[in-house]
Amino acid sequence: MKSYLSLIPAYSRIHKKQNRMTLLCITLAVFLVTAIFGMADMEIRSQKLQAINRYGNWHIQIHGLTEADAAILANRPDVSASSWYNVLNYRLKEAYSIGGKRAAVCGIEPSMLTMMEYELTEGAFPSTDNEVILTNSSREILNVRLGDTITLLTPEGSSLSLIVSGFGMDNEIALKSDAIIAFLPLSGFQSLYHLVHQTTEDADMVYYVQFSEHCNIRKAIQDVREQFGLTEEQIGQNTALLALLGFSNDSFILGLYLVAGILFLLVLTAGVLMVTSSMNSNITQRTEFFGLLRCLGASPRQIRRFVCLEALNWCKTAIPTGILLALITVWGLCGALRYLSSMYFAEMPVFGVSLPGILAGILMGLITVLLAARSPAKRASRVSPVTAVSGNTEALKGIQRAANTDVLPVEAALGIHHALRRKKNFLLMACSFALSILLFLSFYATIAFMNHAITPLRPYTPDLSVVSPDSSCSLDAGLAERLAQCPGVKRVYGRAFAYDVPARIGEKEQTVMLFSYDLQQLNWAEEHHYLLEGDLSKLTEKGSYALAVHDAEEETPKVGEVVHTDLGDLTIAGILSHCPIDGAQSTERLICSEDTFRQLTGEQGYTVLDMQLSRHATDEEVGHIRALAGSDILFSDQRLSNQDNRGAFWAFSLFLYGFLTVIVLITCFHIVNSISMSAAARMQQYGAMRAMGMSCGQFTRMLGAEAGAYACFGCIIGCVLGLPLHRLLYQHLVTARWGTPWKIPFGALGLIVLVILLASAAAILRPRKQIRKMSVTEVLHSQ
Amino acid sequence: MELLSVTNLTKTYGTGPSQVQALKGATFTMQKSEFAAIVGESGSGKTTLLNLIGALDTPTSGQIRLNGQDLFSMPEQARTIFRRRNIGFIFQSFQLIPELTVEQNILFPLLLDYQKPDPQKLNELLEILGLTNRRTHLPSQLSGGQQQRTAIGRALIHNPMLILADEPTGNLDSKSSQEVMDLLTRAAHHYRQTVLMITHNLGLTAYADRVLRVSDGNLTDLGGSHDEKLS
Repeated sequence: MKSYLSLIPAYSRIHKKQNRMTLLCITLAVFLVTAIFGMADMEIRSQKLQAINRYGNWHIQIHGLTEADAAILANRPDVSASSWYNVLNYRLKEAYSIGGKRAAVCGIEPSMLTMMEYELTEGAFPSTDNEVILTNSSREILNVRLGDTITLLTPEGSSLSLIVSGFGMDNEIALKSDAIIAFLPLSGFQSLYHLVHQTTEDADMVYYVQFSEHCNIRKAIQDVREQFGLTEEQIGQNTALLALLGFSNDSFILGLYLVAGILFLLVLTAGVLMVTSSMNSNITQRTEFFGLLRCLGASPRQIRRFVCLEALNWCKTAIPTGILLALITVWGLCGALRYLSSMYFAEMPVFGVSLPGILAGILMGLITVLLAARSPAKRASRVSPVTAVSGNTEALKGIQRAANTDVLPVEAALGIHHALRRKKNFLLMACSFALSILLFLSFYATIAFMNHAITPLRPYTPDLSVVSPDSSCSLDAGLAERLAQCPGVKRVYGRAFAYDVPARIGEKEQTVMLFSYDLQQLNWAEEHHYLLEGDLSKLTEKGSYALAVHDAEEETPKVGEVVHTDLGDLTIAGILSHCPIDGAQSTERLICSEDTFRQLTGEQGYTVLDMQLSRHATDEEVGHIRALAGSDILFSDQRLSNQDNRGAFWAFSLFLYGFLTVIVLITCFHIVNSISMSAAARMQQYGAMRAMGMSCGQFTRMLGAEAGAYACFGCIIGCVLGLPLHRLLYQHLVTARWGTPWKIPFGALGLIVLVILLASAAAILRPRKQIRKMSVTEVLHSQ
Repeated sequence: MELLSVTNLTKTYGTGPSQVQALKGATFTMQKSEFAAIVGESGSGKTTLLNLIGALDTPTSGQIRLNGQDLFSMPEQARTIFRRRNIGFIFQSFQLIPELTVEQNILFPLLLDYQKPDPQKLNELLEILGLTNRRTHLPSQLSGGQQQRTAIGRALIHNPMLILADEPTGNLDSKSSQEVMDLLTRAAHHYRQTVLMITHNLGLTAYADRVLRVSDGNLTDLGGSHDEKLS
């Protein structure tokens, strides 16, 4: 032995069992943080790649920038790429066409391809004004090859011949809408614009900017705005990508950051509390040992150092174990997510190693242990040398008030007194119980977020849709009936639409999109609590009533308000949180009954007929339905994407419920551990009580009263703090976007309180068994 | 009248080569209101004998009968209740419940038995113990002597047939030791309780009616309290 500190490993070797619980606590704390961080890191990586694939790898788009300013901006050291861009017929509503198919035409520079992560599979970027890049699917639709000439027809009736210089990746919009996307070089695009608009002035282009990887993007955006005197409206952001890079200033995304911060703090606090209470109990059990060290001449400072180093010594095993367990868990979860939904998690790395996660785990382990060791170290250093010779007299100290045996039986009074005796310890224990509720409720809020954010599992999600090609009400009710008779069809429900109806809401003139709901769709709205306020039944009554749909970004009409439309006045009967139609800017979505719709518009048919299929519907049956619908309608088959989206839902559920389960398990472990350690620290006293004639039943009741005191106070504190926290998180995650008001989560709260009470009850079984097994003399001398 | 009968009592700890026979066939009896002292070197088996008589531990073989009842033929629960009603313990390190006042500590065996304490009896006992003005104090606020007197009060409150005292004066000064011994003698002779006390202090055997010696696990009855015999 070189120094007194060499006693630490030797002592640990002998007292393996005593240290096991503390080791397990540190391991769990490290595991929890590494796993959460690791999973979040993998998810962010995957979502970043998805966002780049979907929206492109640009950060801002600037409207109304001069060419001179653009040149200066492109030369900024923090700008890695930039390009002009514009598109004609983005919504495919104008009569641009190529080979009889609707077409959208984009004007781009070569750097735009890099920013959009758009790869050319064949050919090269156009070198002259009359060259064009098409998507791969266009090759088959138009039956063209490199060097072939295609003709672009414009709404004005002019035509433009273009030579195909290259083919690139398919575009999701093009595939969905069965249209051609053509990419022209900037000069070619401007020529087309001149031709179409009969002007010599260039089209207003948007300037896309990608900042370099390690710059502070938020600061760079501010700099650019100030440098070129741009207004906020002139700058658009790639919100999804910036959010994932941590640079978004979108209020909803900032809310998500806040939620992530709160969850991290909660997990950190849970770790610190768990390790602290475990170490405290460990120290309490060894008061005599520290007394002996003091007796032999160790100074309080040496004892403090001993305890801190001992804690760090535990880290040597606990941190790598926690990290390893977390890595395996993350790999398992990533694999499961990829398996369950290849569409959402295609980019998720299965065997990825998350350095931020591991670093967070190591830091968490060390910080937790050092923070947690402070208080027990102080306690240990205060142990009097007399303790070594007089036994564990720690028990006699610090008692200010006697137990109240007048009201309760002596064993219950003692149990409660044991719990309440040390205020700090009691608060620590109750808070760690409460923290379990806080953690559970906080993570539970993310489940509500998932239920709102992942939409495919809505009751109205169709497997197949038949859509009127000109968005009119041209689908007759007879078709709906015939489709409903088809084998494999579970139900058919239709909606009739009246688009861009001029209306006045309050003092504001705008347009509304009016559409009908049948009884089935109204029932779904009721059954799934989509009605935020108002009364659904009014829609089926006589009179012109409509439902508005909550929009986080736009003002929604109030219940009872009358909307004056060109079709007639509609009274708002209620506000829905969800509907199958996405809102467009400055267009209010109003839903009325089929009767009201017919009355207002005189239309008898539908615009959309949605179908849900039975579970075992076959491709042949779908083929039959397609044939029945006819070829002059748009037929949409969403079975595959629904299946994938369902997979995504289950994957997210697995992830979130997995964490909830981990939290529940850790709660149980922590409670069982805390109570059994607290009991272990009082063994000698229990021995004396047993010698006086305390029966095993009385002993159990005494421990039960102690555990019950912790659990009850913990639950009260947990509810008092947890419900407002759940409300805050819910409002940031759900209400801010979907308007669904917060409600007390009675189910989740009941579940976690029940878990705490059951775990507390289970916690007394171990010490009870231990006491039963030992003779009274063994208990008396168990220190 | 015979109160305690110990027959051929043995206790063995461990197995194989590490086996230790702490008590080897101890046999003796005690009469009601008799005060006996057990003497012997450290590790001779005195505490083992006392723990077995108090049913705190189970013997390897042999029999203990208290007031005619075989302690180890009873189930654990019944034995616990029997112990709390019939045996009083006094430990060297007092073993008071730190969360209870002097009064509550004394009443502890009655409280465990859900009995309603008799205030008059309690006051009388506190008076005898000299703890009347300390009745609401916690153990941490008492001297060693006062703590041990509280422990004696706890052993007397429910009028047990047998009082077992393990070095009751081991942690006390001579004045407090004197007081404790007076109380134990009074318990035996005034309240007709049987007292069995372990002591290292041979001087204290003078208070006992009878002295037993334990040496290397073997019990010898030395008879009356004559210092010359013990030496």
